[in-house]
Amino acid sequence: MSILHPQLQLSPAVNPPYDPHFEERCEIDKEIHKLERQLHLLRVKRNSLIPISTLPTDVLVDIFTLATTKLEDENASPKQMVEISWVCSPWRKVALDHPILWTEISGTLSHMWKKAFVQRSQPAAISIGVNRTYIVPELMEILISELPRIRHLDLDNGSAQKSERLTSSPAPILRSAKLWRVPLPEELFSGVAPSLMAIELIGCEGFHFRSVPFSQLTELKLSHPQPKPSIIEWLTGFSSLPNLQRITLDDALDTSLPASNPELASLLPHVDLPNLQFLTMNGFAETTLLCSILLCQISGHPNLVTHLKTSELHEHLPEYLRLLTHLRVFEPSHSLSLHISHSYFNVLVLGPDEEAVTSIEVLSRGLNRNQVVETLRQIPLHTLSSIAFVDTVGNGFPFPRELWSDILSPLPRLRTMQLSNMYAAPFMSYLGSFYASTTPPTTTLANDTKTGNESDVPPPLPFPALRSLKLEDLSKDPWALSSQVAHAFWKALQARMESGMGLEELILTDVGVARSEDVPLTKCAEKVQETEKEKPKYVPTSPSWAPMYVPTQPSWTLAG
Amino acid sequence: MAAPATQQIKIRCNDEKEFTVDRDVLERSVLIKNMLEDVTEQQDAPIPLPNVSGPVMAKVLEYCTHHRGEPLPSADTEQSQDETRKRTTDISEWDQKFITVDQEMLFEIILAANYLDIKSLLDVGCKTVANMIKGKTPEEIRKLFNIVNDFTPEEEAQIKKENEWAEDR
Repeated sequence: MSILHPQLQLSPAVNPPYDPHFEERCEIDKEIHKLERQLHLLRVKRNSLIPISTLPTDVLVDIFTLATTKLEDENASPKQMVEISWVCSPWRKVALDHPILWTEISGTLSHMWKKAFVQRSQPAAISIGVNRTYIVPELMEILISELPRIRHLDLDNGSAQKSERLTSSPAPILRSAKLWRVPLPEELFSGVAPSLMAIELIGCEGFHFRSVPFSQLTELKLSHPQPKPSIIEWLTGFSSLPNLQRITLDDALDTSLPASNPELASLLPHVDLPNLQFLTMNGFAETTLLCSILLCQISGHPNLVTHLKTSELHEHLPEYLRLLTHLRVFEPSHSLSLHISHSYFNVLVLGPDEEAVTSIEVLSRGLNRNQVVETLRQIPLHTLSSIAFVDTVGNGFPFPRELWSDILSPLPRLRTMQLSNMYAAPFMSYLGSFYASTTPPTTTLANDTKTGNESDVPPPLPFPALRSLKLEDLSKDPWALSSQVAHAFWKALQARMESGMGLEELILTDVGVARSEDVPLTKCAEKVQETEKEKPKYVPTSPSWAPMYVPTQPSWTLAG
Repeated sequence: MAAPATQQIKIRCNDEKEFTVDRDVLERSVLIKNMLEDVTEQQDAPIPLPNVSGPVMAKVLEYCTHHRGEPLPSADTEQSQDETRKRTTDISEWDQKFITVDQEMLFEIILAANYLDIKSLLDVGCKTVANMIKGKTPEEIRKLFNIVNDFTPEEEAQIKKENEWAEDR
């Protein structure tokens, strides 16, 4: 056996010329090799002496699983498992020996990494995402061969690859499937997907209810199907999926049968979906009206929550309010909300017992300041419990202070308020000056102020029920830069606390200069949470670990 | 009628430290719970715990005392692969404060929780370490846990090759 370093071995065919230092170099190489080997062994031994090396393999596997679990609200790297396997030799061995650690195969992984994950995860069940940017014929073949062990499939084909063989093959353990722009076969997965509970089809061609013959389905999401089923087909189709708990239809209704057709209602079957708890329907004005008719034909779970979303409202607010009232007559026990995006109101929510608005969210898109003010003036707001202004700085002007003083005050039932990335100074100024100029009553609510001499009656206390205030990203607000405005505002919150009507929760994110150094936040709310937007994402590399524990009031005593 | 007195149990750690603890606190440990159920007569001799030191046991008991009375995870709730993946790395405020200790103690607590079979404590420990790892590069992880690169030349060559896969489409 050769004693030379593997890289330095000479081919026996080569007859080296006379070299006076050959022997000496060989000796040195041997010595280097020996030292390298010793160094490696020392490193291995050193690693075995650090605290984390004391953990047994199963615990380490659990830690790696948790570290690579991607949560909805975070951008965990799909390659976190790869990073872990590159730390040291024992970790790499643990990683490669445990297929379960390679089962989350993200759509953004490169083709080679996807192949490696698929190989390393065998034979465990996998979740795989395939982005059309990365899809290649070989990958489609892999998907077809691995379909028997795919538990979650997210395929964005973009018609780039032939996917019929995949979508027509049985999927014995598939639990959820999300298919983007995939032409659908006559029967998805040949009708063999006994574990399939959730399916989402986006822009898929050839959709009809025969394509999803899975009566066990609990969740159905459908966006822009081709062709769009008619309202009658929808209701008939739903009756073949009696276990549905959640339905989302996005621009999925054929509008050729207009909502105004007087014969429509008599043509429609009634469908009983006893487990249906969430029904969301998005679309344009006509589809929304059809959705409302469809809604009236469905009997869902007693706690069914329905969301109707539409992208057209500007001229139709009164009609929509009437629509909500109409729906309330049919489904009085349901929690019902109307989301209107691409417009200035995002959410109008009706409370369970009254035909009045309980929640409003004002967004920036399409924002017309005067329209917002005028519409708010027309809506009955006495039952409003939640209001949010989000990203309303876009038009360059703040809402006038009158919005707060004349329209949005006192809002006797308002409990939560959110102001995010908006010009908050008029609100801060109004509240600050109210408390600066008035001795606020501690118990008087708006309804109590209607009797007596008007001139003697103090102005109603604004937002007497307000318990949660969220202020976000106000640092760009030039109006809030005024230290007097900020100071008066925080003093007002302090005064409310002192009068027993304080906030339970104050959430501040990137509020910056709108803060006043003179008023401690602890005096403004029972619970304060203050963060900066650029907060560190991870635990610091050199954590400031606290010194050894100090037991607090143990229930045990030292024996003897 | 006076409430029945809580039974007190003695335990002895590997450094001879002894604790007398309320039985319900101690029964957060499935290992000890099973041991106690196997013993029919009350014994005065302390239960030996050869794998746990006194300071670590004190910390474990602090946890068990705080969580006494909470339902124990049942033995047959083996988590499926899906459920394991769905576990979040959120830790409650009290647990977070409790587990803010130096690394040596952190890993000792995890080992003790594993040995004593206290699933919830093991979970807190694992989540803490997982949160420390999340989003870090191999070099940052090495620095954090004081690990040195001990790859063999063959492993290094393979990792170098894997590095190139990132660019592949």
